[in-house]
Amino acid sequence: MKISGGKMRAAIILMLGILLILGGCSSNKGGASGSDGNNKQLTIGFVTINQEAYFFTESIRGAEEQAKKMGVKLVVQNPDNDPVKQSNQIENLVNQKVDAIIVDSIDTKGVIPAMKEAANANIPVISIDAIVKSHAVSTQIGVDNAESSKKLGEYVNKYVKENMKEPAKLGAVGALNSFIQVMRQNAFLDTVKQTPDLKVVTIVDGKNVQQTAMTAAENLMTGHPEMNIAFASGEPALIGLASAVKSQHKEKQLSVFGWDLSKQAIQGIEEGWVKAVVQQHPEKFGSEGVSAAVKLAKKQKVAKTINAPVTIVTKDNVDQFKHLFK
Amino acid sequence: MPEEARRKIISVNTKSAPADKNSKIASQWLANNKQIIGILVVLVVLSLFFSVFSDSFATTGNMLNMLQQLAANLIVCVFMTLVITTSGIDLSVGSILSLASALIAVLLKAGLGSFEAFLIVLVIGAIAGLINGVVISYLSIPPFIVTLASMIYIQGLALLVTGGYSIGIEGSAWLNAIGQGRIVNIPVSAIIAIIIVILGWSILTQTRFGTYVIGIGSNEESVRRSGVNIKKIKMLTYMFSGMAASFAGIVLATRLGSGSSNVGTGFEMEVIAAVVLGGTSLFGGIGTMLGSVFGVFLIGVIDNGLTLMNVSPYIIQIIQGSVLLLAVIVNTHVFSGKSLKRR
Repeated sequence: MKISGGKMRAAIILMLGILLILGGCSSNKGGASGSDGNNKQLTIGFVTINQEAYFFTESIRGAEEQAKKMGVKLVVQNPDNDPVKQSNQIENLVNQKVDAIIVDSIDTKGVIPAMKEAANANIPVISIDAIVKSHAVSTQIGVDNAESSKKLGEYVNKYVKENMKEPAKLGAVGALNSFIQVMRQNAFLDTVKQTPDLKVVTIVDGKNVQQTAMTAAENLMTGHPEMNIAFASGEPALIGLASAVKSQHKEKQLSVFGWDLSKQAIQGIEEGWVKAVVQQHPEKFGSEGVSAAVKLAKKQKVAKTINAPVTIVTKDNVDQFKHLFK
Repeated sequence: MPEEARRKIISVNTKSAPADKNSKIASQWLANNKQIIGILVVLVVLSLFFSVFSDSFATTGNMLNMLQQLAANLIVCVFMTLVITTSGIDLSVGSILSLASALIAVLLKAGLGSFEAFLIVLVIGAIAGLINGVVISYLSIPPFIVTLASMIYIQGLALLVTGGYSIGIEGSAWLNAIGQGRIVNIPVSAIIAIIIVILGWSILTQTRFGTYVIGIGSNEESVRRSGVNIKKIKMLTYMFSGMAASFAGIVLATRLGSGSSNVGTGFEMEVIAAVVLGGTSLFGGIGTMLGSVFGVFLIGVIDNGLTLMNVSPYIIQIIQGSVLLLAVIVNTHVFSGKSLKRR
């Protein structure tokens, strides 16, 4: 080995530095270490989908607040939209022997094996948001995405009947990489097709990324200048669609409907071209999830399904939601 | 291989070539730029195809839209071309772009003036690039791994400053104009992008710096031996690249009216694909600004045209990828006359 003393020392210092950084992180997160019998603090694992969309950020916030209130420890894991990573994180939590695991599934089928592992280890699994059909799930807290999207579709049917003279031509901005959003999109489109003469001109894929959705929405408007209704299946899609409406000056011609509020969507509602947006209450998922998890960990009974409400936000009730997007 | 070697030497010595006969220069230019011509042909053929099959493709409105949509890619591709020509790569541009878009929103929200916020974001982009450059040049670590690491931590920084939220932007009129404004109906962002492209082209072909960039890519050692501070040159290319990415982030954020850490997802790959498609060699030494611009347009035109043609979103990506693959094959084998047998 021809390593000089100086280099060796530098290497040791670097290694120590790395260990220090890692050590610093783990002291924040940590696993379940509780060893002291009865009075041990419960540890709840929460595997989310990502930390970039308002929805998930809010659900984490709700969970953290509830955890603080109930005096339990919350370990949040971010799989960054990757279903494989999500399963791995669930397995890791099982190995850490946490007391309950809350999961917002990316792939509602692919996540089942990992959940079964948790159930086999007698760790209760609480599935929030996306509905997972498995015995491994102790409690499901969810918005029925299809049912809520159907409601929005019915709203559109009524809107077209009452307000539009010319035949409705609808374009949709989706996120085909999101199972939940595809479900919303299909339920919505199936419902609006009940309106006679309504034509779905085309669907474009915004890939759940704002600027991709914006480009797709602009191209959609260019390709179909006759389009008069637009639908977006989630937050990035609706932000992209709203920016495209502005850049193409389509405020007068288009009626926009969609899922998940944002600052842009609220502005659109106030200006009148965004007609209705389905808004969930993501912080509720987090807080309800934590309280169910704590009860289950203490072997108390919890309902098999808890329905989280949604609100259809229109010009009439938008004021209630403005404070969320200051 | 001799073909490539010859081209490398020619591109290094372009300036010393005597300008005696115009026709000779023209034919030499054609010989040197077969790939640019190749991609131009592919671009023209595809555009013709889309104009036939979609009424709205070949309209002024659509063309201007596309220019606006591609402005950020154009700005970043210019400096990515320089980086790749030195035989480097910069994977962190997408993350720097997210950070910039997030940061400008956060700074404005915190009450900073538009001008201050704008400057701070550019400086931070430059610093992020500078850190890449210093580690790559002075600590001699491969650019791929350095920028892969910075791609991850810078994305993390973007997440940290936004807390995951998408933050609305309320800048002054001039700042919003960068993303949304139009001068005589031409998008401001497109005008800026074109200016930057011309600037980048001049740097690469008209300055000593550009000659060194090409030289480093083709034979680093000989450039070093002729007394050039190659470490500094390499470091500067990454700094420029970071700064350009942060500027592109401002363009996108002011266009969307919000800053978010989700903005730059996949952006670096789009830009790298465009640059390589345009004929810049991933192994360095061959760089063409015009080719990169055509590369950006090719990717943009495919995306735009297929949407206008109502191609189902479920198969659009399959077609996009296949067309890109075909374009590269056409480019390398048909137009640059490489015979398959020789390999």
